[in-house]
Amino acid sequence: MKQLDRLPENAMSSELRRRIFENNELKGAFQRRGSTSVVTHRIFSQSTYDVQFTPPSPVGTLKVNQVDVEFIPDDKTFGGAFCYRMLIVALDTNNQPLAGVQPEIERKPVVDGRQRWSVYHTSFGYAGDTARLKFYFFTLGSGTFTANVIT
Amino acid sequence: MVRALSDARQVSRERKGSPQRTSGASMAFIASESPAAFDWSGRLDTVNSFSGAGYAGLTITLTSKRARVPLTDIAITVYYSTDGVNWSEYTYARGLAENYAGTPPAITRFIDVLQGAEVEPYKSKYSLQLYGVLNSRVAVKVQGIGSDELEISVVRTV
Repeated sequence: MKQLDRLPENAMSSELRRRIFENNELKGAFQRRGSTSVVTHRIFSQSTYDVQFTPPSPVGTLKVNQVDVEFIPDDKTFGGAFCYRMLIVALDTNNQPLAGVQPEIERKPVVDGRQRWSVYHTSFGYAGDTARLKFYFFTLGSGTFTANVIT
Repeated sequence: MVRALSDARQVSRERKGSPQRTSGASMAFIASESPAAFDWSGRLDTVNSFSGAGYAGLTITLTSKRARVPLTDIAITVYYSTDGVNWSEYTYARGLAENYAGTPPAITRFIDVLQGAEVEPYKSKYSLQLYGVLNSRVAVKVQGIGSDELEISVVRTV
């Protein structure tokens, strides 16, 4: 806002200008003037964990566990919400954080507005290789997600 | 009159369904790709002096159309070819499995986000390192995902 906009006689033009910006955005135009902050979301399920990987047998067998994850924005009218980061917490069978387990996250190309990742966890068949994963999506808008274990 | 306009603005805001004054309830994302089938192709012909494996280091630069500081991420698809003519996708999972089993071409990839003060406005930079059996033929397709349209450039640096 300019200094002159504070004068009472300029209030209307200032008001109109702001109104025009808002209307532009209602039309779905590119955001011209971002506010200093945007509303962000952390989306996760109500479950303690979303997927569980069980170790292969016998011990010593290599298995690359894979789960494909998709974030689907609620409202795609204006292009849908962007998920900037997907983070994972790994838990053991007692639902305690699993030390030293960092599943690898690969971002996959967007298909049809769905933002996708594949997550890999390597297991060698030891009992301690059981991992439960919980997903967190940091997004600029609301949405839902699905997790699909690849067998 | 001003009052009426203010009221109208409030209605607009409510229609947007958001406490955000100048953006919608979601900040939209845009997925950008170059028209080319691959953004880079070549051989893993730089020798890693420790393991004898080959590698290639690429710098990926995304340039946004409008946003000075775009929020971005990249999705990489890697392709592999034995003859340089027929290409097929080489999955991340295959790379992991072959790397553990010692089966060629055992291509693995690592992405680093190069975000520092030296990265100019409108740009996002990433480093992609590809490792595998020496001289493997690989190609890379990049999708830039972010809060703006992105132009993609891939340069081999190592």
